[in-house]
Order: sequence, then structure tokens, then C-alpha cells
Amino acid sequence: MRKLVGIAAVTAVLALTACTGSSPGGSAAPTELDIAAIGTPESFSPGNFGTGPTTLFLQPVYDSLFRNTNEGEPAENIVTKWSYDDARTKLSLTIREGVKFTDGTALDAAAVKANLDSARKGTGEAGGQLRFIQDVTVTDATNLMVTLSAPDPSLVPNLGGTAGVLASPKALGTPALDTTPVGSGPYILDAAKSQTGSKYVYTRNADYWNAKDFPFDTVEVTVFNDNNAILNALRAGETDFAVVTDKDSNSLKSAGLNIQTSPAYTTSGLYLFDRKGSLVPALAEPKVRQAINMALDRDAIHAKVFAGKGKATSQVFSSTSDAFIPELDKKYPFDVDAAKKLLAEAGYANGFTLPMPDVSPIYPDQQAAVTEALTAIGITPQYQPVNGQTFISDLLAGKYPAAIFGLNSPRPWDFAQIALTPESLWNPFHVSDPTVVDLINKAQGETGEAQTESFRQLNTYVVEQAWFAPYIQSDNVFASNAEITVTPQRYSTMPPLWGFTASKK
Amino acid sequence: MLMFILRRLASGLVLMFVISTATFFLLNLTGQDPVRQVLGPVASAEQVEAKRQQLGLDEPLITQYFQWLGSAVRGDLGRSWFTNQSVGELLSQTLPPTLSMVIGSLILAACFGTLIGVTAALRRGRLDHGLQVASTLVQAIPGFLVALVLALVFAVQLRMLPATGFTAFSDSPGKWLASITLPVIALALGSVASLALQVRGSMIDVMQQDFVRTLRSRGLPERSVVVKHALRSAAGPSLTTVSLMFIVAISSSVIVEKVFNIPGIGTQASNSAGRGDLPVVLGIVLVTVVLVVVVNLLVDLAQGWINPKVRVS
Amino acid sequence: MTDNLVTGTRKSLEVVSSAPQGDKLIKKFLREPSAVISLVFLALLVVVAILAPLISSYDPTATRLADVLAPPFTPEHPLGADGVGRDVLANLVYGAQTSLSSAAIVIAVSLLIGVPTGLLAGYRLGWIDGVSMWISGALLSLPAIVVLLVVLARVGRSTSLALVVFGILIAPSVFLLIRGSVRAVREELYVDAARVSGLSDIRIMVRHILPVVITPTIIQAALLAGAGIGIEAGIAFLGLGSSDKASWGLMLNDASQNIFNAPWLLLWPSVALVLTVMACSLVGNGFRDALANFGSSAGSVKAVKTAKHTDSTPEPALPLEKAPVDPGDTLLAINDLRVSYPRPNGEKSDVVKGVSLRVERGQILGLVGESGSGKSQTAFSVLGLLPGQAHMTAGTLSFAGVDLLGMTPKERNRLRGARIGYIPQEPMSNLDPAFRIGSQLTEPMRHHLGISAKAAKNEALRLLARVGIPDPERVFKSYPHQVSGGMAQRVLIAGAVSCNPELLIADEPTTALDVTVQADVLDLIRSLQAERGMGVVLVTHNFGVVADLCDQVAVMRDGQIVEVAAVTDLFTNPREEYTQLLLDSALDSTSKTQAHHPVETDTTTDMTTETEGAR
Repeated sequence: MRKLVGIAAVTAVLALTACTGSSPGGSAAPTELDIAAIGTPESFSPGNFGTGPTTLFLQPVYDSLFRNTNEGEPAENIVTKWSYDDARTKLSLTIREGVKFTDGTALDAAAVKANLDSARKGTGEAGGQLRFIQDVTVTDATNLMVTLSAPDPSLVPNLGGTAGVLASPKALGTPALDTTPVGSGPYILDAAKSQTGSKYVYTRNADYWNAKDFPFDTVEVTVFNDNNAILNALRAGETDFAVVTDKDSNSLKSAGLNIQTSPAYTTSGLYLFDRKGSLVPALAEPKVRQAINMALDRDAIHAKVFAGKGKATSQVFSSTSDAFIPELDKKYPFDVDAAKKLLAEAGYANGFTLPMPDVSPIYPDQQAAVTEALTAIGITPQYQPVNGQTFISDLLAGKYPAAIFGLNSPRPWDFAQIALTPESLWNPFHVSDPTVVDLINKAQGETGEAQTESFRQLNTYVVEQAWFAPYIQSDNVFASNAEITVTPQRYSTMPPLWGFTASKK
Repeated sequence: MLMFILRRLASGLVLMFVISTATFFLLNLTGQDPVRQVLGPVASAEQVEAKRQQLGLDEPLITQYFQWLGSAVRGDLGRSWFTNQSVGELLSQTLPPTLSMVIGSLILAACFGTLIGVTAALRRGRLDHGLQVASTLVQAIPGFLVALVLALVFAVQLRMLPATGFTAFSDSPGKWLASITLPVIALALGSVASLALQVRGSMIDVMQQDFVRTLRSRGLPERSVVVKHALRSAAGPSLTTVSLMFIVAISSSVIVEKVFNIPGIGTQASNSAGRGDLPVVLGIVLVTVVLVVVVNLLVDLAQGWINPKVRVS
Repeated sequence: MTDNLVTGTRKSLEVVSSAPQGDKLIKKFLREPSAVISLVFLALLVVVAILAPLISSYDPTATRLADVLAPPFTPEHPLGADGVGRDVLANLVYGAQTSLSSAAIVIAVSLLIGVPTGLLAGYRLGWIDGVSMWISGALLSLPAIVVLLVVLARVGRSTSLALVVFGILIAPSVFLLIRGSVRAVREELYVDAARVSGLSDIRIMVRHILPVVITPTIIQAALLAGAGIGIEAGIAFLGLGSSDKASWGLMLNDASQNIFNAPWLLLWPSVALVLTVMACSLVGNGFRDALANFGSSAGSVKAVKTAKHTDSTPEPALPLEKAPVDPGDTLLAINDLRVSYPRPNGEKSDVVKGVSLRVERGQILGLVGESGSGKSQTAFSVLGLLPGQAHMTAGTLSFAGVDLLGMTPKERNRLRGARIGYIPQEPMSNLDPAFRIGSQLTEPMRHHLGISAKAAKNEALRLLARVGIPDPERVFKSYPHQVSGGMAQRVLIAGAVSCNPELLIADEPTTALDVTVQADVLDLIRSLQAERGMGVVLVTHNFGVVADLCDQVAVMRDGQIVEVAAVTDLFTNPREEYTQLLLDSALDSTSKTQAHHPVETDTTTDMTTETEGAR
């Protein structure tokens, strides 16, 4: 009798799976977009979230002030007209009429001001991008004036990203906004179907003013905790889009998925934070840092670790920017003997120990390469165990003199702000160099060619001083279902939501 | 009977109290600043201070403990420090997937384990010996390996079942069943083997007892002797195994959830423990203890039903 | 794995009290092939782990970009290299070190905690016992990996720490084992003697109790090793283990990251892990089985492990000679019945050596003999209820003219209960403890007689009253443990006759009863027999019973019939010396108990209550 029960159960399962089936996307154009994400949005309150992958969670529900083009240039969205004054400290904005938030509140200049004021106080990177805003004044229902404490070359494009996101002023400041967004965007978060921290289901906002750019009726973003699970989901057709690693791209291609590469705007390498020599005196010597640069076999790393994707380089500024100088990459050829000589000249013929965080759980192959390089010239890396979640704050607190890491490097101004000024977040030892400071200040007030030239000089100086030992500016590898087409955006790590369209058959 | 249940529940309450207190102080021992973790690197010192006060973390540890305890007793488990989501809501979302898997695996293990164990006990000989070896082998295979292989073969290659995700029963019973099938099998495999061995051993013992022979002497059909009578007596020791299997299943579900990307308690425990989201961790610990207490109680009650000698009247 | 440990504890407890001495145990252990192979495997593993630097010159954690995912079977990388260029063979052998040291840590921690606390709690009892039992229960309630997650997440990745914590979590299994063992022996006489002679508690524990406990602890240690190795792999797989140590779990982690590029990386760590954990289990189980077999007597039927297995019902034997089967009044005809059992060393042990008997309708045949004479075996042969290993042959075995030997088991079963009834010896152990008495009575009646539940109940109540039970309704609803031995025996008698059998086989029906009850039960049997005209085979060693009830007597000795006679003839004029011997000893020891007189409860009456060895 039990046998029969068992057989019945198995039959039931098979029958059910046959009926329900797991492959999405029938013959008609897909109406649901499934995206796999790693990491969750910290919050839905403006200013409290980051600027990178978080975008995917926010773009469905929120409009941004600007909408950047595929080239990364700001274009109109909510803002229809904008202009700076000559000092570039006063930005006047004109916004579109007739847009409403999903709770019925009007999206007018007052709402924009409320958002900018609130976001400025935010604790996330998006809030940080607004730190040059001094004051926002409303001139009338569709016009406002933003006053800056100093020029910010990236402000307008940043307002096209998560920094310029607009939530309903009624919801601003309420704790509910952390988990339940109220925006004016093309979709609405379906709270019933979503689960904070694991699945976010967005259904179409019927009243959206620009529906034509968003062909999908539903967008589902699922959070994954395991890379393998993402690959399985891609291959089984359970997700349409994910960021994958270079190593996986070949086997995914043979499984019928589209593989695209797009600059990740991340410069990876050995970040030599302790340039003052507080923890490791050797690092204060430029020759030591240069030696480290010469010990890295960038081409091998490029080929083996990154499967030839991305760009091998010793420069930190993005290769897509105008501050990038191709010839500068010749400055540090791979030469172990020359490196050892430099070390000896600096007085470290016997090498030294270099404490670093053990990042092998996240970047095992990079750590492998760096270990090889350092040990070859006599530097002994001393890897210390890290707690995965306090890793970032430990780095920022100056706990480690150096680390294998990757930093976001879109526009040169952005990177300079992130890592080169004495107050920069990613300058944990607050290294201050007058040349660097002067160049940055100069570039801040300039535009066009003059600004580009300043950044090029800054780039050259930073490379000559070997402030960093980067080896690659990696590419993101996107895997997508053949039924959708993904168009990336310059200076943005993730494609924008409107970059996902149904493929033409 | 009622007194028995009440006493067990009271003992369970004490257990919950002790374990949650231990967890609270253990997690606070490590001296890392959770507020900076919550806000991220960009926040200013003033913002960090403000958040600290908002979360009540500027109070002495004992005060914080009693605040938490006081609310918890009233059913309010607080909010996640990181997402600000109510812990109660979080638990109500993450429990169904894990429970579906764990209970499913127990049912599967019970059915197949009993079937195999009884067959082995009755047939003896080569089948029995084969079972013992097979059982030891199966129990030695780590759960994540089984999960990996199952996902690869049945989900990715054969596309018979989903490789990732969980569909709630209320959304679609069919899809729910499909989404938990592979994880349940991965979880149940070791339990089937262990229970089969247990049942086999008990059945052999019971079948050798006098009353079985006497029942046979009455001419009762063999099936009745085995299934109705012998199995009933053999079930007792096997039932204790069930409560153990439950605890092990909750433990193993952490790994299985990772492989199949199921948003259950295990995943939540992993994430929140990792970043130090104390209210959530405490909530999970509490819920786990409650589940264990309840399961143990149910098992004991079942024992009483099966074995009249143990019954508390 | 963890649940295996705790149930294993229970099993180990069962074998504790019969702990034999070391060398004999080892000999027993060596008989089990799977255990021996496993032990050899583990020994090899230890050797490999120690010789790791000689087997592979690579540093297992050294990563080499140039060798990423190098294929196997090359001179540089015999087993290939993993996703970051680490040599697979090196990781395999150094991983053995990690696994073995993990096992060692877990064993050490859990023994360190479990043994002293178990000793203390088991010996002292009292509040120490209560508290430690509670703690043990609490620890066992915690899911291991969740606890490890919480601890490791706060303190950082560390394999050793993880294993220490796991050792603490699993210590209750050792604690329970030791405590149970101690409690089992603490009431033994030699412990009492030691206590009386003034030895301190600690000395008693160490000198007398600890030795008993050692073997089960070894068994437990083997299982702990397996669990520890498994947990270490799981922790490493989750990325929570130390990253500077080679580990099979880490290998599996890397393999799973590269599963689409190099699936063969899964092979070696999986094999290593599974085989090692399996070996630990088999060694532990092997020890335990050796211990169990040693504990029970060699001739016991319960030593099933080493006996050759036969089918559960005896095959129809080839008749040696077909004696003429005459119908009519012969109810039971047995000719040249032989029963034997296989010994552990392969030889046969004969317990019934050619018995021939006849029982007529309405006749009561007494089957007398000392314990071990084969009388019960004969009775079971008739019923067809010999244990599985028994080997039975007979020239003739027929019932009411029907040949039993040629019957299928199903046909045989149809006879039982309906036409042949059985009254067992021990009342309490012969009733199913999980079912009410009423249902145990009605079920066979409904099966054989096809009557409705209500009719069966009425009949059962009538029967209960008939056998002298004062409150049939209450007994009908009761469970076996709620009635006395005497009542239980009456219930069994009721059950035996409930379907009106023609032949009744009573196996020492009064031996296990109080003296006062015996006479009543005998009266009952006699009246039932008279009422229904049943033939009875009454197995007994008590001549008083024989004198009371039987018409014919057969005396058995050492598996053979020595003498058969009518009762009066036997008592007055026994032909065999042996019979005379039995009668003399019986009359001497059971002098006061005369079947016809109600008994003066004189406590000097000797009721031999030993049960027969070969049941």
C-alpha cells in the first residue's frame, strides 16, 4: 500500500511540473523582465542608497531629474531645461508639468526641492554626491535654482542617476519609505508579491507619462546569494539578465545566452593607501611603490584572471575618458629585476612585510596574482582574516596599509573626489600632495579642453608617483536571454532600465 | 495531559529565554560598531550618532537587553537595523519556504525510510546488508553535494524542475510543489537513510518479541502483524529520531537554500549574522527554538499515542 | 550525521553492560569485513596525511595563475589544478590533514566535556544530573550550522573555532552515553561493595566505572570523527573556514564555482569526503555490532548477525519416510521431527532429534522434560512458528489428517488460531502493548469467523467472563500494562480458544504465574478442554500439572522422547530410569503442591521459573 502512495506521489509531482513548466517566454514578445541581482537596496529613501547596482532597484519606481544618454550625457527627463551661470555655482532648472506621484501628490518644483534637501542629508553615496549643494530655492511651480558651494562638474550627470531620484514629498522622512517606495516612475512596487531582501516585483504604472520606453509589463528583480545559483537560473531560463564573471561566459554562450561586455568603470589593483608610511614606512617611498608597479605582470593577469576582457592598465582614470593617456601605460613594464633594483635603491633590498586583508573569498585569483608578484620581488604579503561585512569600514578606517580592491572610476572628477583629495573617503590615511590638490582645484572651475588637460596632468602625476598599482579596468560581463536586448550606458556600471528592450525577431 | 503540555511549553519558554539571552550577549561581545555598518562609509559622524540614538544603541547593554526583552514578550521583535523592516514581518516571509522544505523532507523521509526499513527487516539477507552499506554511504554524502548535483541534472540539464527560487503555496500550489521538490530531496536523502536504518533495527527487535509470535499464532495475516502491530511498536524509537532529524534539517537548509537561492530562514540567518543585524538574528534564534520545542512536544505526544505505556493520562 | 550520533548513543547504551575484554572484542571486530576495510582505509589516510609533504611538493594554498584549471594526468599536476591554479593532489593530501585534525578537535572537545560531566551526573544523580540533562537537551536543540554562522560571522573565519563550537554542541551525545553507562552499572554489586568499603567517589568512578565506559566511548568517537569531518567540509564550503588551510570542503567550493568549466574538479574531494565519513561510521558500527554479538550468548537465537539467513518460514522438509496417515481420531501425528540451528562457527546444533508423537481428539498430552530438552521447540514446530534460522525436517507432520509439511505458509497461517490455538508462557510479553486487549481479541475473530465488530465484541466479552475475569468491560478497554499477570494469562487463554480450535498447544501456561493463580488457570484450561473437546499438547516441566490435567505423558530428554505412557502408568510404573529420576526430584521439591488441593501459600514451594534456553 505504501508503494502505491509513493508511486502516486511521484506521478503527481511529474504531472504538476509538466503542467506548470519552468521555462518562461513563450512565442509572444516577453512581458516580464527577470533580473538577477547580488546585494539589496539599502533603503528606498532618497540619499540613503548607493550609486551602482542599487540603480536596478530604484529605476523602476522612481524618476530621476535627468536621464543620461547612452553616451553618459545628461538629457531631459523631469527637467526640461537647465543652465549654469558663469561661475558654475548656480544651476537653474525647469521641470515638466503634469507629472504626479502614485499617491496623487504633484511633482512640482517644491517637491524637487523637498527631495534634494532630504537627499543631501542622506547617509548613502547618493547623498554624498549632493554635498556641493548649498541651497535650493523655488522660483515657481516649475522652476528652481540650485546654489552650490563650489563648482561640481559631475553634478548634472549625477542627477541623472540615483542622486537625482524623486520620491513623493509626503513620504519623505517617514520610516515606511525605507521599505516601500512612493515615486512617479514607470512601475509600482507590488508589496504583496515582493519580499524585502529577496524579491522585488514591479508592475506597470498605468499613469506613467512616458510608458512607450518601457515595453515590459512586469519587472522582477531577484536577489541571489550564490554565483552558481545565478548561473543555474540563467541556464534554466529562470532569469533574463545577470552580471556574470568572465570565466563563465564561454559556457553560457554555448547554452544559448547572449554575452555582452561593457566597461565596469572599476579600476582594480593593489591600492597602496599608506602613502604616508604610517603603518608600513616602505610605502612612503615612491620607488617602492614604483617597484610594486613593475612587479605586476599585467598582461598575464589580463589574460588569465580576466580572460582577456577589460583593459590592462596602470592608470586609474577610466580608459573611456579623455584623461586617459595610452602612452602612460608604458611607464611600468613587467620587469622583476628592475623592480628589485628600485627596491634596493629605496633601501629595501631585503623586502618587507605588507599586511593586507585576505580577500581570497571574493577575489581569489587576483590575490593569487598579487601574491606571486610581491613575493617575486621580496615583499611578503601578510593576509589577515576579514569579516566580510566590516571589510569596507575597516579599509576606510585605515586598518590596512594596502589592499587588493576595485574602486568605481567613471568620470575623472568623480574618481578624484572619491580617492585623491585629502578628505576623500578612499584616502583613508589622508595623504595630501600639493600638486594633486592644486590640479584638482584647477579642474573644478574649468570646462571643456582646459579641464581635460588638467585631468591629464593629474593622471600623469598620479601614475609617476605610483599612488596606486592598478592592473586592470575590468569589463562587466552581462549574460542575457536571447529574447531581450540590453544597451549599456557610458559611465554607468549597470545598464539603465530603459536599456532593456525586447529583441526584434 | 494538559499539565504535561503546559509543563513542556513552560520548559520551552525557559529555553527560549536562556538561548536568546546568550545570543544577545554573545553578539554584543565582539565590539564592532554596528551603526557604521548600517549606514555605510559615506555617512558623517553626526549622522552616525543620530542613528545610534535612534536605534537605542547609546544605552548601556543591560538596558538595551531589557528593552528588547520587554518588547519581545509583548510580541514586538523590533525592526531590522539595516532595512528597517519589521522582524515579525520578515520572519513571516522567510519561514514558509524553510518550513515547506524541512517538513517536506521529514514527510519524505518518514515515508521512504519506513518503507525501506521495513522491507529490509523482513527480507534480511542481501537486501538488508545492501541497505546498511547504502545507508552509510548516503549519509556520508554532504548535503551541498547532493543539492549541487540535483540542481545541475534535473533543473539545468533536464529542465524538469526549477533551479532557483520559491513560489508560495498561495500563489500556485503546483509551482510551489515544483519549487521545493529538489531541495526537499536534497534535504531528505540523509534522513531517509538514517531513518531506514533506525526502522530496520527497531523492526528486527520487535519482530523477535513474544507478542509477535503470539499474534501469528492467532493466524492473523502477515501484513496485519507487520504493518498494524509490529510497526506500531517499532515506531516509538524511530519517532525520537524524527525530532533530531528536524533539527539537522534546519541546519542543513542553510546550505540547500544557498544552492537553490530560496529566501528562507537559513539565507536570512546567514546574511543578518554576517552583518550583525542583531534584532533579526535574535528573532531567528527565537523562532528556531520555538520550532524545536513544538516539534519535540508533538513527537512526545505522538509517542504517547503510539505507546500507551508512556501516555500521560 | 548528527542525528545518527544521538541514536547511535542509544544503541551503544544497550550494549554497555555486557562489555567484554579487549582482545576478544578485537577478534570479533575483525570478523566484520566492512569494518576492517574501513579501519585499514583510515589508517592509510593517516599515513597519507603524515606523508603529505612527500607525496606532493606543492604548497596546497599556493596559487599559480599559469596553472588555472590545468587538466589532470600531466606530470606537473597529476590530478590537475583548480580554479586558481592550486594543485589538486596537494590539496587532497593536505586536506586529509585538516580533516583528521578536525576529527581530533571534535573528539577531544566533546570527550573533554562529555565524559567528566557524564560520570558526575550518572554517579551523583541529584541536582547535578537534573541541570546537566537540561543543558544537554538545550544544546541538542540548537541547529549546528545556524549557531556556527552566528559565532563565525562575528569572530571571523576560523576552522578550528568552528570545530570547537561544534564539539561543544555535540558533547551531549557523549554526556548521555557516559551518564547512561554509569547509571547502568552503578547499582552493580561490586560498586556497592567499593562504596561500602569506603573508597572515594572519584576512585570508584575511575577504577570501576570508567573501564566499562571505554568501549562505547570508542564507538562514539568513531561517529564523532565522521560528523566532525562532515561539518568541516560544510563550513569550508560556505566560506566560513580558515582560508590558509587546505580542505576538501574548500576544494568543493572551488569546484562548484567552476562547475561549468571543469566539472571533474568535483570528483576527488567528493570521493575523499564520502569515503572517509563512511569509513568512520563503519568502524564505529563494526565495534558496536561486535560488542552486541559478544553480549548475547552464542547459542542464542538472537545472534542473528552471524547466522546464515534462511527464509522466515521453514521450508517444507523432505519427508524421510512417509508414515501412513490415518484419519479419524488422530488429531496430531508427528513422526521423526528434527529441528536444528546453525552455530556461529557454521556447525549445526540439534535441539530436536527425531521426535514422534500422536495426539487424539479430546486427548491431553503432557510434554515433560527439563529445560533445554526441546519440548517448546516441538510445540513451535507444530504451530509453524519456529524462528527464521531454524531448520526443521520430519517424516510426518500432520494435523487432522492434513499434511502440514506440504502446506504453503499462507495455508499454514489459516490453520493457526482457527484450528490450532496457542497459549504462551509469559502473559505480559505476549500481548501487544500498543493495542487494547479488546481489539487483540476481536481482530482474529473477525478475520477467521468473518463476524461484525459488534458480534466480535460481544463474543469477546463473553469469553472474558468465561475465563473468570470479573469486569470484562473494563479489561476489554484496557491496555496490557493495566492488568495483572494472572488476568493477562486469562486473556491469552481466551484468545487462544476464541475461534474454537480443535488443537490447543499450551506452552508452560502457568509457570510465570503466582502460585495462587496457577490452580485457577489450570482449572480453566481443563474446563475449556472438556467443554470443547479440544486436543491439548501441554508443555511443562511440572509433574504436578501433568498429574492434574493430562491423559498421556511424553517425557523428553535432550531432544528425544524417552518414554510415552498414560499418566497413571507413568507415575506408578515409570519404565525408564530417567523418568524415575525426574519424578523423584519433582516430588522432593514440589512436595507441598498437590494439584487437587487448594494450595496453602507456603513460601517454600519451589517454582522453577527459569525459561528454556532455546526458545
